[in-house]
Amino acid sequence: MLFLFNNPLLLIGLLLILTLMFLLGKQMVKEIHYNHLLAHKKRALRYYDGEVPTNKRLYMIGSLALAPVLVIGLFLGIRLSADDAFVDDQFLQISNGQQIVELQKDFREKYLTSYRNYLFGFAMMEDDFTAVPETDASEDAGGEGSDDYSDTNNQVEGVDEMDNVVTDGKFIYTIQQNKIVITLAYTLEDEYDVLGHYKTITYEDSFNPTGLYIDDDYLVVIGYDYMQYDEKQNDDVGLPEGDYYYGYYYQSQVGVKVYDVKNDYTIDHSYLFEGNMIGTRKIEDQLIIITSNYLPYSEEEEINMDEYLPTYYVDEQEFVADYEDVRYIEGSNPNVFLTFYSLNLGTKEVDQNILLGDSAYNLYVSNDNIYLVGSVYMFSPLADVVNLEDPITETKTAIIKLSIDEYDLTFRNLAHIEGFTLNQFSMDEYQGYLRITTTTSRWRFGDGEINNRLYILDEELNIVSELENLGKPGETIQSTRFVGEYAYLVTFEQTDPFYVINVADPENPFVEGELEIPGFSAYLQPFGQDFMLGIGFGDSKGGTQGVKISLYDIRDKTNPLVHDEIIFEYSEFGFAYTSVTYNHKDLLLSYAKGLIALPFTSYDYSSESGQYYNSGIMVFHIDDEGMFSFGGFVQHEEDSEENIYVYKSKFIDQYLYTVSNKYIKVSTIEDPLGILNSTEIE
Amino acid sequence: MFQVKMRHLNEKEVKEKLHISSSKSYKYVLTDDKDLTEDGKISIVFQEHHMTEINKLIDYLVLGEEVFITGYNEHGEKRVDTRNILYFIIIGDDLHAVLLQTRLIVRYKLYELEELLEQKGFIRTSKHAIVNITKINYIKPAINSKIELEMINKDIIEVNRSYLKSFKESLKK
Repeated sequence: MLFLFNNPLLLIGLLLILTLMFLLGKQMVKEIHYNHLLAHKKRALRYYDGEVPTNKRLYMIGSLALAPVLVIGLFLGIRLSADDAFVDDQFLQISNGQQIVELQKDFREKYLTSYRNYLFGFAMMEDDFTAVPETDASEDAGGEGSDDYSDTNNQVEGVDEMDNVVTDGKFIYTIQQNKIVITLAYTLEDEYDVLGHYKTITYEDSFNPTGLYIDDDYLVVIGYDYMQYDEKQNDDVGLPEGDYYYGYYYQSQVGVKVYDVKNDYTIDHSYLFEGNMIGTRKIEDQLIIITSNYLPYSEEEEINMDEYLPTYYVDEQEFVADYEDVRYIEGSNPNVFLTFYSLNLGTKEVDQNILLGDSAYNLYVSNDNIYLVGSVYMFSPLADVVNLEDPITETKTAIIKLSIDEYDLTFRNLAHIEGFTLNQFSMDEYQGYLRITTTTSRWRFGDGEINNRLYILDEELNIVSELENLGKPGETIQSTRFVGEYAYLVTFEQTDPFYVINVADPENPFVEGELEIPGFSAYLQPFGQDFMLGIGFGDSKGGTQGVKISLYDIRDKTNPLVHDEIIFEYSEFGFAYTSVTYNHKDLLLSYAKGLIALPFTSYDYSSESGQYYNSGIMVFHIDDEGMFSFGGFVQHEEDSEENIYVYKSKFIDQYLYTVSNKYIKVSTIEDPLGILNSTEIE
Repeated sequence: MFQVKMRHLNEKEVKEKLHISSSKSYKYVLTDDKDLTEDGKISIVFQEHHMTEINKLIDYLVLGEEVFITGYNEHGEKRVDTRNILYFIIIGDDLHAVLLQTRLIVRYKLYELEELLEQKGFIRTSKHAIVNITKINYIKPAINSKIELEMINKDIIEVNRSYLKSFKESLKK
């Protein structure tokens, strides 16, 4: 109703239609009445053809009177019939390529009238690591490895995330540009003495490895591949000879190479997926890969969508998707095919599920479900028929849920919530409920009040409860961590309120405790039952000019405390950072060993030595009382002329292995600076 | 006008065959059993094989005798049954009787014909016209309270506002 008052022309039009309908309706009734009387009279006059006469005119009047009803009915019918095609009322099933072209056209027609052109989503390229230089050397690999070694710092236990350095307790696997270097790191017999090169897998083609998974059976290498698929000639685009045409089209591909660990890393099989990588996870021998393929749009040319259907190859055998495998979420920008692949590494079977939509930006995978979030635009229902000035009524976050049933993925549910998620840690599944934190009106979405929310959704993604206005006015969420029945949340504008939220009852979450300190944590990770480690920014003056590592005491949920903290101020160390603030997998943490290790890099400039660069692993020990003690800053070459970037640390038994672009070095966790052995991988 | 009371025949079928319906204020009783006759009413007792004769009788009872009038056109003088005339209309100084294929000029005054044909299903629609109800194909009420009558030959005759009430009443009679 309010909408009609805000659009007076529409209201007047509607009133006119109603008046016309009333008059025509009255006319029809009158006409039918008169002609009934006439028929009756004719019969009374013994005129035997006295049937009730009908007339085209009556049909015409009837049609005119009912036309607006029919138009509205048709409009609703189309919408309803479109709804009918939704799987579970939420995902529209696509039947052909033309339908996609129509969806694109429709979206653009509505969307381009909006002034909010900057709202387009952006692709997330998860796990895009910096590759490091190559290697050589060789050694024998007899002996057993250890069972006590560091896994990748995964968000969810049992759901592996790929990393650029992995270990299985015996070997350390690293990526060096176009090579995978396998270094023998440890055996039970000879311990660290065996440290040395074991094997190098080199890719001569365009494959560019970016991440690794390791288990007892498989070494899985994931990377990008680029294929030039359409080199247009000058003639094709009407350019004169001599002018250079820049229209080289590269199709990005995601390559997966699976090696048999028990058979000395011989290639077992390989996959190739057309598209860009959105994310990947591994649950036992099931590999999940999510890719995006951008779709072209042209008002002049007719685009054949068949060419853009997601395609994959298993050992070079081609598989192309069917349109019936494609689903669409209403309101999302239909410019991308998001494809969810589930690979059975044992049988090489691939399950493919495709979503036509906008680029997604955060992925969370539990042991049972996949959750992917992206932006959708909620159009006014009248945007289909009326050219509204701003057809987008609001922008929301869509959560898409797929269930993982054995090796099959199935689109399950869709939910719309307010705000935007920060990262994968904004989401968590616990006892079937999805808990998720969002912020509305972050800087890039400009207008309106900032609102930080926590939602709890049930298995069907119905919102069960919602906490609003978390944090102080103007603050946005900087980090979230869910641990069982509690959520820990950091918001920030000028100070860092650290919230402990009780989410034990999904219907009644509440803020149980709160702590306000300077600076803020960009990453939270539980350290045992009693502590929460926060890594972020802060300085001794209450600002954010330094790297700050805090240990929050969360034993009393109503009264969280700062138990201990360490600050590296820029004024002392020069500009410094730790990659853990944006890549949790760079953090090495062991509660049992009282160990925290993270990459730390500082830059500074002095008039005597010019610019200098320090990169190493910062090692801390935490005693039984939960107090930090500095274990050392492990660098691989001091005052080196090269930039030696020490980017990862792993432990096997009591030994700490640090990995740079040139070396793998080993020391004890106890004495990180006392290097026991070293191997060059450059 | 009629009441149908059957003992042996199907009452509904009889009404259909005779093109009549029963009415509360009836003058005639039509029956197939003399025991069903009523005092004070004119009763007609008949058997099934009398149906055609009964039909003619009812025609006569309802419509009365046929009325013929004389008119002329370029082919000369004609005598026609008024039941075949669609309407009468004054054009200029002449009164025309319009038939399906032709029209005649008749030497009557309109009010004379109105009186003569009132019981034969004719009705006044304006100062200039009288219409045979059985020859109206369709009635089109207009938004401005007028009514247009589409005759079986597609001619349109307007019912003027001042004759509207009497027109409606005559349809209801």
